[in-house]
Amino acid sequence: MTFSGALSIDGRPASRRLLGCTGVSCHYGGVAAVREVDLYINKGTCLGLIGPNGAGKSTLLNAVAGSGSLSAGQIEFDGHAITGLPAYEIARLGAIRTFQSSSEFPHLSVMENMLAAERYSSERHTFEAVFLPKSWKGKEQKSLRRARDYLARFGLSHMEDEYAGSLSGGQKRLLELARALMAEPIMLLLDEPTAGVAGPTVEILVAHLKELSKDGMTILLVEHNLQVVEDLCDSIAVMALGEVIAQGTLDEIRRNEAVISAYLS
Amino acid sequence: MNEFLNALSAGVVNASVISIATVGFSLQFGITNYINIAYGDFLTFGAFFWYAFAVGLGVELWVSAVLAVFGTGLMAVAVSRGVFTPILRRRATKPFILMIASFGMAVMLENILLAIYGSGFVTIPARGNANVISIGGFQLSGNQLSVVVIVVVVMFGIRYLLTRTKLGKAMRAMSDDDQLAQNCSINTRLITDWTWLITGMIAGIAGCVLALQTVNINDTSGSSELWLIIPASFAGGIGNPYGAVAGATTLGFGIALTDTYLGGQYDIIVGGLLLGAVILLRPQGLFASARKALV
Amino acid sequence: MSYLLIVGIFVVTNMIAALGLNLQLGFGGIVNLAFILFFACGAYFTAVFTIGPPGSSQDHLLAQTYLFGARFPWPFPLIVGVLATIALGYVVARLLFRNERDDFAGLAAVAIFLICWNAVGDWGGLFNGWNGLSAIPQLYQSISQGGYESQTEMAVYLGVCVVFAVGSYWYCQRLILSPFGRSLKAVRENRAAASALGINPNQATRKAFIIGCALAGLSGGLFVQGATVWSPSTWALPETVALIAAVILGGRGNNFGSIMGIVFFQGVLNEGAHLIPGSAQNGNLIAATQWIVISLTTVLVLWARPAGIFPERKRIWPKDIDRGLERPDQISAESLARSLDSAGETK
Repeated sequence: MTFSGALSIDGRPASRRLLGCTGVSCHYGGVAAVREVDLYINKGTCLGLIGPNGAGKSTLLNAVAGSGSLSAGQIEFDGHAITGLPAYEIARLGAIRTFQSSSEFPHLSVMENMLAAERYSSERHTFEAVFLPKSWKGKEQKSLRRARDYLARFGLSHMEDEYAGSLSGGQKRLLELARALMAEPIMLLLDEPTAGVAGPTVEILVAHLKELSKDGMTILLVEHNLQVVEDLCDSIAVMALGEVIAQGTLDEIRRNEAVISAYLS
Repeated sequence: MNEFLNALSAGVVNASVISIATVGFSLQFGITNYINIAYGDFLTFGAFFWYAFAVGLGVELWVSAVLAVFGTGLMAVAVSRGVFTPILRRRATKPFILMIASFGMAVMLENILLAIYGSGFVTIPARGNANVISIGGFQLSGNQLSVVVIVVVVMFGIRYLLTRTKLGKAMRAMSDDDQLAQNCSINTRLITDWTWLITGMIAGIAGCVLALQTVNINDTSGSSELWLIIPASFAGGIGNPYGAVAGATTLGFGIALTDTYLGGQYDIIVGGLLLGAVILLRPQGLFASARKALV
Repeated sequence: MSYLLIVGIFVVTNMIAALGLNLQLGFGGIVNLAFILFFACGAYFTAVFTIGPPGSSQDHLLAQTYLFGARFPWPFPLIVGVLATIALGYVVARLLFRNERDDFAGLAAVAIFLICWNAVGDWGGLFNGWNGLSAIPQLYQSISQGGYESQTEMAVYLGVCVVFAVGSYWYCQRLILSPFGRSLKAVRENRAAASALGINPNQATRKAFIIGCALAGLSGGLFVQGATVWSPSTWALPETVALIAAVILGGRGNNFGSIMGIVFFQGVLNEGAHLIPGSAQNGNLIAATQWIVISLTTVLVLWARPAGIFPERKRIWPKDIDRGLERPDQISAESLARSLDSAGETK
């Protein structure tokens, strides 16, 4: 499965900037959690964002996703200026995020979780919803098939009718990812997707993410697990105390003095 | 000018009466992190306990008042342990569930009083001190002055409690982060009980003050104050007992001025305007930070 | 017999209100403690457009003062009532949903209710103050401009109410099974996650709120022409608890449950209260007992079985949607999955 716009004519991912953060700062009541960060992600690449606790990684991801408190700077996504836009609008532009703690809709079935992500759900007016069912029933059928494809791909088909809240931790993560894909993202913002997940499931998750990446998906990955970062990411940015202190490949990062001192201190 | 000063002194009295209740209401939310709409009815119970002791049992008037205050505090603990804690312990209860439960309790408490005492008014024979005392240009009766004194005492008492006592510090810890407080081996159940006891007693005081002010009380006297308590606590930042006083004072003065210059039926505009202004301009209140604040 | 008809009208109109509340509380997770305000809005506006100008009512001894005052034929007053309630709902929605916490909105709702309730009571020019409106013409009276209604006419009115109730039930079911219903439930479950999928949470909540209020207004407008009187004492703050109790007992997020909840509270409870010893002498005792039972039930249900008697139904879809398609060579979901799996293995 490939994702629209990710391939150039010769079949290789087009090297174009998809996400650009310039001078981004985030303040929480006087404390600068993120300071003047410049960060760029090219289309079709996977950028890993690592750093010690409290470095501001999740804060930065929240700011990009529109749910954080951006106090300065500009963010551009897919040619649109998204600074200050609310989270749902950024999601509609194609930047879909996941959460650190499980964020499934617990009292809805797995399939309903999937269908809730379908684009037309949010655009339907209540009049059409009730009086013009033909305008959305066809799309619902298509979405149903799409959802079943994804569920099958992620090994969740047998849980389709179960309450999402009754899934195991690992299954919830997979559901979150599948659900995110239903929203037709051109970029995924993953906030510690392997946090609290058992070993074997981590491998499954990484395998799926690798496949997505290969198909041209752009990914911003906040992670603590360096093995995962090594497997998935083309380049890595290291944050400490709210600033990006180094950026490059994993080898370059490993040799960087600033990084070493940040992790040791 | 005289009129204005009269309005101001009325404002001070209004503010004091509303303050006590609002402080208790805000404090309880600030520490337990859920809203209790039945608080208005705690006030009514305070007044009715006083009536029951003083008139029903014939106990001396001011002793009855003290007993009433304790009685209300104990009742609050009973409600907390009997109703809210069981619901709270049940799986992951959303805050609005507790709010509906407190709404249900409000109706229940009010109707228990209705069943016992009927819908008519009862009077507590408290004459108190009707002498008029002049301070500067203000004219207050002895009763009114006592009310102001009570408010000041309560406020200082709360400040002392929160800043100087071990219990108070534990309360603040719990209000900041319930989970963390538990991990630091603070007995949150005990603190909760103490919180309800103290705020319940404050409600009892407020109820007695209300009875002093309005003379006749019935089953809806306390909940009738909610339209004052809620905007005042919103204005001060819900959960912030100090802000509560500021909010109540604004409201009290606003109402006094409206009474003097526009007539009593327009009181509600003040409450409405204050509430509207706070909601539209700063939903978390004038004194709170983004989360609920208990300084 | 006419007593039963009146009770029937009360029960049926309350069902419509319960459906509206269920939409807000059960499906939307909105705690609108001011719900009865919207019921009252529908009732008042319907009444003042049915009753004619002040001073012209049939019983000239009543000196009522109120806004507007016209004598439109049914159903125009009802339509006005619903429209007025939608407008009020829109305004209140703007005030309520500004914060992340649901319970702040609930508290604000209580305050807004009390302020409006006191205003309507204190300002007689609006809707005749604390005394309220009386001698509101019933359905046939407002059409025929005639005298008091007979039983047949009342039965017809009950039938009209039933039609509206059935229509409201159909509407609510269709709404909740649609993509909008899904978005609404998603917002209720996890606001942040719903936003992250492109759902506008405030818009979904607001729409559910306004539709719920419209249903409240509709039921109020229908109710008032059955009751013929309407005053602030009939729509005090606890009245919302009565409806909440029905929705919570019947089942939050279950329209059938809400209907059943009303049947229990209005039907069983109301009549059962008369059996209490001593109730004939003490009218307050009946009322107090009814309210205590209502509130006690609410609290008990929230403790013992928060989902209610008829819990919200889980939505699942039929598995065999791919059978019976026009193109026989269409790949079925299972075989597509299988091919995907095998493709994964070779990578």
